[in-house]
Amino acid sequence: MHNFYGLLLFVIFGMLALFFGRYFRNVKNLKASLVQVSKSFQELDAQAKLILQTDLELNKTQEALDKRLNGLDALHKISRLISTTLIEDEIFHRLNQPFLIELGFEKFLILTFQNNGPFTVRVDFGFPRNEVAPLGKTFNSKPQILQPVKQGKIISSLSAPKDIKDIFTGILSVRQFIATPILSQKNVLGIILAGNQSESYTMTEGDEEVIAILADQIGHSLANARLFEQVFRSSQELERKVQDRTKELTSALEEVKRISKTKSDFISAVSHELRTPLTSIKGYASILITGKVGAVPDKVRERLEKINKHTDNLVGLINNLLDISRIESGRVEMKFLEHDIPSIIANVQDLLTPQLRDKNIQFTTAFDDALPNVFMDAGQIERVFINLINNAIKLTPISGTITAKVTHDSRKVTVGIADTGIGIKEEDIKKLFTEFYRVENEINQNVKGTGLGLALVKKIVEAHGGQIWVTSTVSVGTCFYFTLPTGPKTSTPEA
Amino acid sequence: MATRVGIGFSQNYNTRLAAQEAAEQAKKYLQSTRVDLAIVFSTIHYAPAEVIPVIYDIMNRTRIIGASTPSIILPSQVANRGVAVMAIISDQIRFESGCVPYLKLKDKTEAGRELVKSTLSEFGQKQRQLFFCIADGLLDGLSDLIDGIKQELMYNLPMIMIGSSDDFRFQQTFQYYKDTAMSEGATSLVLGGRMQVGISIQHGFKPIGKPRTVDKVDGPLILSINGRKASALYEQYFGTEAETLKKGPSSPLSFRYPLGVRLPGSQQYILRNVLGVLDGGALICQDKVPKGAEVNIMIGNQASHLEAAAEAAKDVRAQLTLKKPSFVLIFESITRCKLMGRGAAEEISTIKNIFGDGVPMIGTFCLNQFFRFSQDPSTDPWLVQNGNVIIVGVL
Repeated sequence: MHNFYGLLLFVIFGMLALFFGRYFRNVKNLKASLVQVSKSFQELDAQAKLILQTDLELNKTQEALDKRLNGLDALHKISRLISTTLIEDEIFHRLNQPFLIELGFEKFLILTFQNNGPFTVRVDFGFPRNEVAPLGKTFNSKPQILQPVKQGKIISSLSAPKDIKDIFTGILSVRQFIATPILSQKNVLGIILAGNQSESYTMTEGDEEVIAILADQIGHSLANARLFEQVFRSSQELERKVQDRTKELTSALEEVKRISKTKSDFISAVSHELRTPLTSIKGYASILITGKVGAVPDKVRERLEKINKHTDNLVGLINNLLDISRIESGRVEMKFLEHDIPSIIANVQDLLTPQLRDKNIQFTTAFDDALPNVFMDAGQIERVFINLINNAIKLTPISGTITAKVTHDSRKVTVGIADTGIGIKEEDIKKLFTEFYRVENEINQNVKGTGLGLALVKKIVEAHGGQIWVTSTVSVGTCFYFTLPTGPKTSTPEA
Repeated sequence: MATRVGIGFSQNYNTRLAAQEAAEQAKKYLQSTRVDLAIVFSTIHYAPAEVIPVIYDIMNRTRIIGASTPSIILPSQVANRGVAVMAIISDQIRFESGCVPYLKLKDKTEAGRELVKSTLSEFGQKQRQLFFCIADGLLDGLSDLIDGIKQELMYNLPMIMIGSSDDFRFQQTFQYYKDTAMSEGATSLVLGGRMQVGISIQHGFKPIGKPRTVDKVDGPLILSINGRKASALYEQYFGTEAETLKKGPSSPLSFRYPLGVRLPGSQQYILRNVLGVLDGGALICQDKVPKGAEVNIMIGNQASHLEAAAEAAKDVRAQLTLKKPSFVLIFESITRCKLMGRGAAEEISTIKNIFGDGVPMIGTFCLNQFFRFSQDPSTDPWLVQNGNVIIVGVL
């Protein structure tokens, strides 16, 4: 029995030993697991710390990136706005808009100045209305505050010494600020002051860059606007001068026209008054020469013939003057009819044959084929040919040649009267068609003339809508050219 | 006619013209001179005292409710500047609005009761479906105001309260009521009649790191966590960066890594932004955190926030039995404005796609969010939240 109880106790103790052994092993295992779990938990927490810190960094970067993107977006909008105007006030008007806040600043002040003059507040944003004028006064009364910025330096709360920082934050009532010069190519045009009071805006170096870019944009736009203003003012000044000169010229032209008319009227009146007594003088001289009123001694006859000849010259001169005056004043009525030029030249050649023969001058013609007829006043054009060929005869030495050449194109015929005469000097050519101008040469000294022939020729040609000019080489010859339009001309032109 | 809704929006630089353009545009869609309700949101670029009277006149002096906001949520964009108006007429939905000004000078609990009374007395005995309130988000003691509202509503009406906001300066916010723009006030709206309402609230944050237990609290202050000063929680994870919490709500740690308070017996977390740190290391929250609560640091990213918004929108759709709502209101926490950054527009686009094209939507970013749509008083300590998106669909 004792053995049995002993065995039972042994078994019970054995089982208990086994149970407690397993229990303590389990407890030990659990404790080890708990330590392990606790360790893992600590590790997880440490990882959580890393995650949180990394997340914070990432968020900060993301926020800065977002801010930069918003800033660039706003810059782009502002740039587009201000670059499409060339008016300085409009640039600042367009800047005075809440686009500025998208740059990441609550307050903006844009000041400009010229030639070291006082600051003018051009844009204010985020400041109470009643604070803007005092701010401008503060910066004007203490110009040394902004002097470094005026010299092109950027000052910001990120880098400025504490005393400078305190001055700016105090004046602008902000926590952070940036002061950037507005630069053109050559100089500083103004200053941008931007700042934040709120804790929710944190300024970074990127913000400094954005404001610097904005300042550059404004600088370019301002420089363009000022250049445009300068060009605009110059152009207005030029226009004013042109208008003044035009007025002066118009007035001078009117005066010239008035004088010309007075001259024509005078010539016309005087010529009429002279011609009447001349006709009488010539008539009486002619009667005396015939001897009908008594025998005329030879010496008297000789004198009378001179009177007759000089009277003829004088009448010719007066007639020419009258013709010029009439053409100038438009009082000559041209009769434009279709005529062929070769036949006119032939008539003139006939008329001048004695003179040609006297000097043994060969007169030749050269006409284009199918030369068209020309609408002209044949009488007047005949006078042109007579004058030009007569001149050529006068200037051509004995046995010389005179050539009349006529060419044409679709709009006009061109006539050239060329001689092999003594030629005309360059300086004389310019004055050749001036009334009463006579070239000084040996021939003219011996042959009398009025100096009105070529002036009259020019008037007649121009009255037909043509042009006249001359080319000449001294000792070789001269050629007078004139053109006549081929188309019909119905009215008398004003000379 | 059922319900007709028009939305107008303007970014005109002239304040009065912006108000006029937005109001006229919204009213044009109604094709009626009658307007039952106008919801107005405007950014701080526009002086509310000039905006609201203009809209009030154009809206035929109808009920107006609204607030200032850093950004306006619209179907096509999130606008950082502008004036937006949603004008509504309906044969089925009944609206009534009310307000209490000068909250700073009043007993807030009493003011809350007064607000409900004035709103509901005008509304009459018609069936009530939702009580909505906008209070100045910068005021202290809004919990008392909510208490007053709760006492008067008696758990028989879902309620949403949002705090009006400014542009992150936390200086002055505005609440709109009829032709008045006030600060330090509250304005309210009750909706009822033959209508259905779907409400959902979501955030995209997940807990990270070890859970901790709140040891000592004093109102909205968390004094100690796991036997250490409360601020040690942030110091442990963020090192010296935790110092920035002293700057207040603008600290990135405040809105990016809020505290998550786990609801008892639930996997859900209620968010608390840390608004500051006292010298002794106490964390200042927007509202109370119960002693013994399990808290975690929370983390999220744009994708998780986007997913949360999509879930909220789907939830609302489900509550409305997949029918297209007459209009949708979106109330996002101001912190989400920062969190989403340039991705905010994508979030709105996602919500829009879930409700389908042509559903009028308007929304604002708010400072605080309070909501209650269960009739269970045990959820009361969790009324105040941050960092959420609240979507309200009305059918």
